[in-house]
Amino acid sequence: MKSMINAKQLTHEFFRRDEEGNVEGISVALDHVDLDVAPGAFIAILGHNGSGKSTLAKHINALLTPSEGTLLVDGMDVSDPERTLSIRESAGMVFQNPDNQIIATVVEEDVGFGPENMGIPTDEIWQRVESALKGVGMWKYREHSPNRLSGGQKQRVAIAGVMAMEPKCIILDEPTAMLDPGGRAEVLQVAHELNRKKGITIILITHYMEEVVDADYVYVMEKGHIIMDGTPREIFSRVDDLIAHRLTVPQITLLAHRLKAAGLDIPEGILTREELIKALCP
Amino acid sequence: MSIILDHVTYTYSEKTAYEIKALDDVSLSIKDGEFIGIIGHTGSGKSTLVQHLNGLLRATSGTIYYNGQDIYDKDFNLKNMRTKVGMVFQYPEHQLFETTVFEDVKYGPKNQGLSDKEATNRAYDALADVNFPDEYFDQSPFELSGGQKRRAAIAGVLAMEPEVLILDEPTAGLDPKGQRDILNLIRRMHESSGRTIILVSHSMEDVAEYVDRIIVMDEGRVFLDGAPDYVFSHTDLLEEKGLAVPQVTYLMEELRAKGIPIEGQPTTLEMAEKEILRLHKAGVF
Ligand SMILES: Nc1ncnc2c1ncn2[C@@H]1O[C@H](COP(=O)(O)OP(=O)(O)O)[C@@H](O)[C@H]1O
Ligand SMILES: Nc1ncnc2c1ncn2[C@@H]1O[C@H](COP(=O)(O)OP(=O)(O)O)[C@@H](O)[C@H]1O
Ligand SMILES: [Mg+2]
Ligand SMILES: [Mg+2]
Repeated sequence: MKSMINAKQLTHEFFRRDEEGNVEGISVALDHVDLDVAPGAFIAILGHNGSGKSTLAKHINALLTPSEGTLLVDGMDVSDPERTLSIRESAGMVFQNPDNQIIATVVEEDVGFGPENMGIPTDEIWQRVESALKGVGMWKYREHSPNRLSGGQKQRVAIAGVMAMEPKCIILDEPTAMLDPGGRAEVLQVAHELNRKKGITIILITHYMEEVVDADYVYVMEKGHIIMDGTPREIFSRVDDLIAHRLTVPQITLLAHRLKAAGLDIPEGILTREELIKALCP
Repeated sequence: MSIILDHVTYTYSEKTAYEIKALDDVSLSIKDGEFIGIIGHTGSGKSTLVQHLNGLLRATSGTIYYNGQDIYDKDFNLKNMRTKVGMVFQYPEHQLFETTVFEDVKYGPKNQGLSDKEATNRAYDALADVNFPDEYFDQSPFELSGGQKRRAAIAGVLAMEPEVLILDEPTAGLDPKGQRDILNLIRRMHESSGRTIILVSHSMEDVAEYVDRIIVMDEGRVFLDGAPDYVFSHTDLLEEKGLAVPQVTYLMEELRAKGIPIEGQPTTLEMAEKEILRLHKAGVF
């Protein structure tokens, strides 16, 4: 089957230059990364600050291009400048700070901005705006000013803006880092719905381990490398490894791990409260 | 260093069409040496509240007493108070601006009128307090990692030797290890100096683990105020306000609903572990 995202030996080097333009240093942000994401998958990426997650995300959106290796998005090579626009239509991106992504003064105009730039006819733009805003549960706010919305609502508008471009894949780069628990839950719910109902491939980058539990597959990055990959259960069974790599596991997984160490008969890799309760009271 | 807020109300853009009442009749008393967490959904007034505590914002009505003195009194030295109540803003790295980390940390004490020598000593002490590695003292703050930048920004505030330290979401965007390091650092600061600490956070698990008292804000009002076990016994109310309780607290409630005789209101991983092990020994599990 065709991949949604296929990276082979993907490498990206940033050159640091002094005022005269001489190269002072090179940092290798992605170091020969291989990765393959099937269409319709829900993928999570974990990794310490500076491990290369955003650099990878920006390649998928053709905001950056490889120094070495290849990256195909929906079969298109991100190194081919003629494909840049099609790639951006295929793979939309949502960033951490909702305040920096919303441009218009009215919610529906903001959501219509992307398709308008793509040259979509006006009638269709409005259809897409309606369906996108309904999709994220923000239709009733269509005439509101974005800066009066909560953080979670702003992120949902940002996601609607990406949806209106009808991408096959959405990359969410720490979309919940600035949100309260309610806002985090809203964003996660919308991402899962888009994945389930519309088959949109989701790539979620996050530092909240709880948000990863329902992903299909998890990649863990360190210093530009992918150092672990597997299902959430496989990854979160490796409690000590994750902690050694600046990460952690969901609070429930850690509790289960400690109870097991204290002698209770509990399997490794418990992910949810339901699973722990079942293990405790069979 | 007690702080008392007496019926404080604050309105942004007063008397315009955009008027927003961000604080609505808030009365609070903060005692010397407390470690307080402030939670609340986005827009509930947390940042507005903490900016009143160091006089950056001035109440539209009501007043604030710092060690018994009305801070809006014309004889009160507000500038002096701002150095006693240190504030680490959200994304503090945006406030780093000097050419080197060391100069950046020295800036505060110099601004307080200390001599260059005294400011240098303060900067050394503050950077040591936050475990900032010596070899980066002369680096540009912009070249540091996320966690190091936060440390440098916190050192910049500590160098002014504040009696009260306010941190507005200091761990947002950091990786789990970076978050833990910053929180442990804050805890140490509280334990070693007895400083009053006020921590604004979106992580229910973190406030449960670190603070002694939680203030819950909602629509500019104090909605709940008490110890973590008290605040986190209000699951439904907190969820209505866009908040939650720690994962382990949900777990213990669900076990209790199944008839397991859980004692107390465990809010941290350690407390939940202890309670389950106790029940295990008693033969319940
Ligand atoms: N524009 C840039 N110029 C130079 N170095 C950069 C740039 N963006 C990122 N880097 C470096 O690349 C590495 C990976 O960064 P990034 O992809 O942002 O990590 P993450 O998103 O995992 O925190 C880091 O060492 C970072 O300092
Ligand atoms: N500079 C400002 N001008 C106008 N309104 C503001 C400003 N800062 C905050 N507000 C509004 O005041 C309310 C409380 O905001 P804030 O104190 O920042 O909340 P929190 O920190 O809990 O997210 C919100 O409705 C917010 O939109
Ligand atoms: Mg990043
Ligand atoms: Mg705030």
